[in-house]
Amino acid sequence: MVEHLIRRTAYALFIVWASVSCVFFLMYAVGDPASATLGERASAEQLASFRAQHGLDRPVLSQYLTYIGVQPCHVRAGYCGLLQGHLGDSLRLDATIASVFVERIPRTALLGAMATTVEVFVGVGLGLWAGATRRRWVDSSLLTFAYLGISIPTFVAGLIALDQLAFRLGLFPVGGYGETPLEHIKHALLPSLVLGLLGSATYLRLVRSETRDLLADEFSRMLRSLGVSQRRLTLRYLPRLAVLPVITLLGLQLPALVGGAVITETIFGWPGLGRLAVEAVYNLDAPLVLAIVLVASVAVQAGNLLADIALQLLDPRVLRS
Amino acid sequence: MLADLFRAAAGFWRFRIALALTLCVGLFAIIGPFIAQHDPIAQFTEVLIDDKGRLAGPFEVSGFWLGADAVGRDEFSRLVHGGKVSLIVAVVASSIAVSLGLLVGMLAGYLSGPVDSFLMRLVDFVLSLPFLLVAIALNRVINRPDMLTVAVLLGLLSWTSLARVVRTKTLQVRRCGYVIAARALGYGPWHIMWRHILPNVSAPALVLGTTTLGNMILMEAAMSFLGLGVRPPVPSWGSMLREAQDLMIHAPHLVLFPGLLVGMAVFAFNLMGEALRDVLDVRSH
Amino acid sequence: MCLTFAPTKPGRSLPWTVSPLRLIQRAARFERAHRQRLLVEGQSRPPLRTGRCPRRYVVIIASALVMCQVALTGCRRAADHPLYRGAGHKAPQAGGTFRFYHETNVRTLDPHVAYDELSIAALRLVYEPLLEFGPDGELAPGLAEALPSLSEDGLHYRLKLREDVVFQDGHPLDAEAVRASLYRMLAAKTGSPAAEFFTKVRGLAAYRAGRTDHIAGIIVEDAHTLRFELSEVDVAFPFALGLTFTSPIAPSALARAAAGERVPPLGTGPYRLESWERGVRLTYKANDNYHTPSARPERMVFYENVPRHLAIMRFRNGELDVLFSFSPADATFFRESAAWQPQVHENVDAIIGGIVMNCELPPFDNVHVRRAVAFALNRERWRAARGNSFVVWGQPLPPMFDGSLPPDHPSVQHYDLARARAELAKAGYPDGLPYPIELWLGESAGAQVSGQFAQADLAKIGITLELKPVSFAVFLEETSKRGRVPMFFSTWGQDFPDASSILDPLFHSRGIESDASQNRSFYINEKLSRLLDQAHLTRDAEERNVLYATASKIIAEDAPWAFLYVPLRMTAYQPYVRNTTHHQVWSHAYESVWLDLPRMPWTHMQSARKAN
Repeated sequence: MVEHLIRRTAYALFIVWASVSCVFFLMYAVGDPASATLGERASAEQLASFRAQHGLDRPVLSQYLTYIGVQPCHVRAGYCGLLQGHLGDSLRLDATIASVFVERIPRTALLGAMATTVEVFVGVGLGLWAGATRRRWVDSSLLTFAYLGISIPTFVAGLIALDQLAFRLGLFPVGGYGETPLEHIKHALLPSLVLGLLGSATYLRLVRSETRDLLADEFSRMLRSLGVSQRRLTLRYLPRLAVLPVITLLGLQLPALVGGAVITETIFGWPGLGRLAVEAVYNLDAPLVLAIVLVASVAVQAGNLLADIALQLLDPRVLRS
Repeated sequence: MLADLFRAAAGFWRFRIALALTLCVGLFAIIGPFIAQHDPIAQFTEVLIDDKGRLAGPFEVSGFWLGADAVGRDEFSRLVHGGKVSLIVAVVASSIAVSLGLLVGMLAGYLSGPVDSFLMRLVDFVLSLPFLLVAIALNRVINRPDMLTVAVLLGLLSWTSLARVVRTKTLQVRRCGYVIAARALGYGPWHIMWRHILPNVSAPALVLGTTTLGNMILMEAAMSFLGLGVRPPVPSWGSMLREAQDLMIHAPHLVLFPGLLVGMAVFAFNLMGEALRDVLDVRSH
Repeated sequence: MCLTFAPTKPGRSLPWTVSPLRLIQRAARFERAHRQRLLVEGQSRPPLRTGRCPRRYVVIIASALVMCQVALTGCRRAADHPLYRGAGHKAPQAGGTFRFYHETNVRTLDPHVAYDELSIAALRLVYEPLLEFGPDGELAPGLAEALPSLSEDGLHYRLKLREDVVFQDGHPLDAEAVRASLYRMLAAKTGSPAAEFFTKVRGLAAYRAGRTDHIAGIIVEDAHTLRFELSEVDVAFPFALGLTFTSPIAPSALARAAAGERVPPLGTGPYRLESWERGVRLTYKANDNYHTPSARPERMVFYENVPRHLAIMRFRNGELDVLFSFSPADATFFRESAAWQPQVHENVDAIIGGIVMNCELPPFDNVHVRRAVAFALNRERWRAARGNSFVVWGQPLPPMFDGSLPPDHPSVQHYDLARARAELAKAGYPDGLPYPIELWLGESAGAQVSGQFAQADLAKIGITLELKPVSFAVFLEETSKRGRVPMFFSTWGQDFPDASSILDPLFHSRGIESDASQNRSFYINEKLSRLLDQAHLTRDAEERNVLYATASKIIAEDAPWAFLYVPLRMTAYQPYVRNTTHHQVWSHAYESVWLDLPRMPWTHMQSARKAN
């Protein structure tokens, strides 16, 4: 078990390194951050001094090595020394990346956590219901909902929800973030509902088919033979087995959540990492982009690792195979 | 073989409905351009936008059934031509994704050993890349915003799940008697993969490929929404949504029409995937 | 799936372990204890039927229809009038909170570095430059007692500072503090973009190169008097003193900046920064020690990251006090609504927009092709389609500048299809250009729409355009390099309200460099360059205007740009926001505003009365 964990962690670190390196060279290929940062009025002299200050005038390989932290850095500003724990400074915003992250990550995490909560609870609940019910119309309506959820683009649903529910009916705040923690939650309600309801469809379908399989399985037959009612079976015993694939899916859905944040935060004006990421790529703020990619891929790998561990602990069958 | 499949599937209601919907969407995009009277790129500013800048709504000007878009072009023509573009992007992207997924999955599953671990590492790597960010950056590097670029980009970033499924299936098939027999008879790996494994993994590939079609339409829309789609003035459903975003409060139908069509197409392909899953008896996990 | 009933070792499993076997064992125990509630269930569910059309799909279609209905017609109509009105005070009132916004992030509050509209808007509440611009762009004494006095030879400017100004850290404003602040701004290490405006200050080059630690041309005469010495005459120099870069920073803040920290925002301005939640909002509180007291809001809140589609909803909900970002449809709505219309102000902006043609790349090295493009663009048609959001303008200088030509002047570019064809024929392409040309533009939806207009118009004279939307970063880098981009959309705004601020960077041959060119049309006309240089030395205003008018005429005729429009800046305020002004230089100028509080709910009576 411990050995397995160590191997998995090492592997996860390798993947993180690979993605960060890949994006590093990609950003280098995209273009020169100097003119993007200084704007259309920058003179040649200013551009040159900016490049020298941030070490952008050196060969790419040397830039990469200093960024990773293998080569000592000889510039003060900019980005260097990842291995030493330095994320560097943003080129565009007058702030260290660490300070930007301290503010932004909790915001994105809050929205993500709320959306996932809605997703899982709605998805698992309705999935169990659809899988266990004998009323075909219930099953049909729930499946309909699932199909619609998978088919509607988030930004269409988000725009319509903003216009109708927030602006016209005034049920929710119109985008934004609010001031106190309670207000943050209030402002996150509409985006997380939209995201959660659309996203719950995946869980619904999974849990529904899992429930059906389990109901047709020897396991359920055995329980029934013990005299357990259908109701008790679905409410009490099935959830424990049906959530196993949900945990795997949760781990797998993390990249989608991180990627989805880009669009959600743009639509709802949520000041999180996703919106910042797009802005950073557009403005060629390479250190910021790299740091965001780093955080995102660490999150994804950690999610997978946690899902893995959870499965090991919860399901003895996995260990044997 | 396709005919057999069709005959087997025709009995399923889900398949029939999925087929009907797919045909609707397909015909809309294929025949639509012949029905539409106007050039999707031509601007009819004088006819469709009045002096105060108000856009003509649906059925207000004869000949322009769905009214004007933000620039004074025929919304209906743009919808049908946009459908064509969106579907082509989706089809090309999914073909790339399916071929890559099949190839990688079969290679990894059949050859196993170092090849397998390398390819699976590649899969994990691609999966862990933040899709949209990488798409934006890659798009910048290629710097050619047209249909083909978008399609190839989408295809290259979305073959991974299929590769995993195919690999698992290949691992199962590899242990079967006929594969062992073929190997004993001295057939090479390519022959075995092509003749014995491919037919066995084609069912999940077909199912996943159909679902991927739907996903690709969604992804194209998302990319266009962020301004990374096809080159204007070429219409696509995604770029139409983007152009209509500002008009949300005043002309919601400009968001609704392409949004609905995207929804319908994705719905149709998902349903088709599900139906094929029933017909081919493919296990989802 | 077939579950394997694997025996698990009892010791290692968690209480929540869900081995089916254990679950069944537990269930058996549990169910035995509740025997009385047991029900014997039937066999498992019947297999899926395939005979009848399942109701599911009827449900799907029905619900899709309902959703369309809701999305199309809407649950409720939004009010087409403001939600609140003022209390009706006549005299200016102090107090309240004024809320404004922007679409992206404030980059920095360092006045010596900030050069983008957003950051300047954020820091202008805290800092004040040495001179101010009045609402019409005229220079006014800001921190100075009067406009700087000029010596006979035109080389020495003497600036007398006000004596009653105190920094927000309590330190009084004196010449020494201003000098220290200017030294920091002009140091090469600071990386201020303003250095180019001060190149004529004596001794600046030596200071920037690190050869000396003082600037010979900035002299402290006494506690409140500064003298600037120039190496050659520059009539436009006082304008540079009105830029935010010259804002004095409090000495205590400068000391911390010297120690390598970020500059804490301490200036002399009317507000002090209370808090900044990055990416969300900046909160300002009125500065009680401000040198010119007036009735103004007690607080200002500046929301960051409010995209356009949210801004309009929040404004109409009464959550924002000002709205400045309008899509064409929004603009039409506000102009048409009887209740909103008095709250909307439209003013011509000091920005020129057009299509830039690279005069070094074929076919635009031929002046006739450039002219053909300039004549082929149907600017009036664009205006209607873009919600009348600009004024058609076919020359380099916006209308408020001295030296701009009257709109009906024959040299001014305008739409004339026949002439466009004739010019193209003169260039040797009677049937149009045989190859397509790339038109570069930004990625915003608006830019793409404009691109499509240009495409349609130029197709009429036989020029095929290929649109190339690129990110702003790539756009900036590529267009500034020689021989790269044949044609692109561009706008240029003034730095200060003087013709030199537009013509010099855009059309002077000095602006051309191979790597980082300001003159992005690569237009070289030595006669024009001499004219522009001469204008800097000409101290007589009339004479100077004539020079700039001649320059405008030459540029309009040579057409390195196809000049298109001067944008209208549209701003809407809530009815309880009073004494709003339009400022020609600053886009967020709320210093004169007061709030008529408490705000009252808008009544229909009132809206009917207003409509009549």
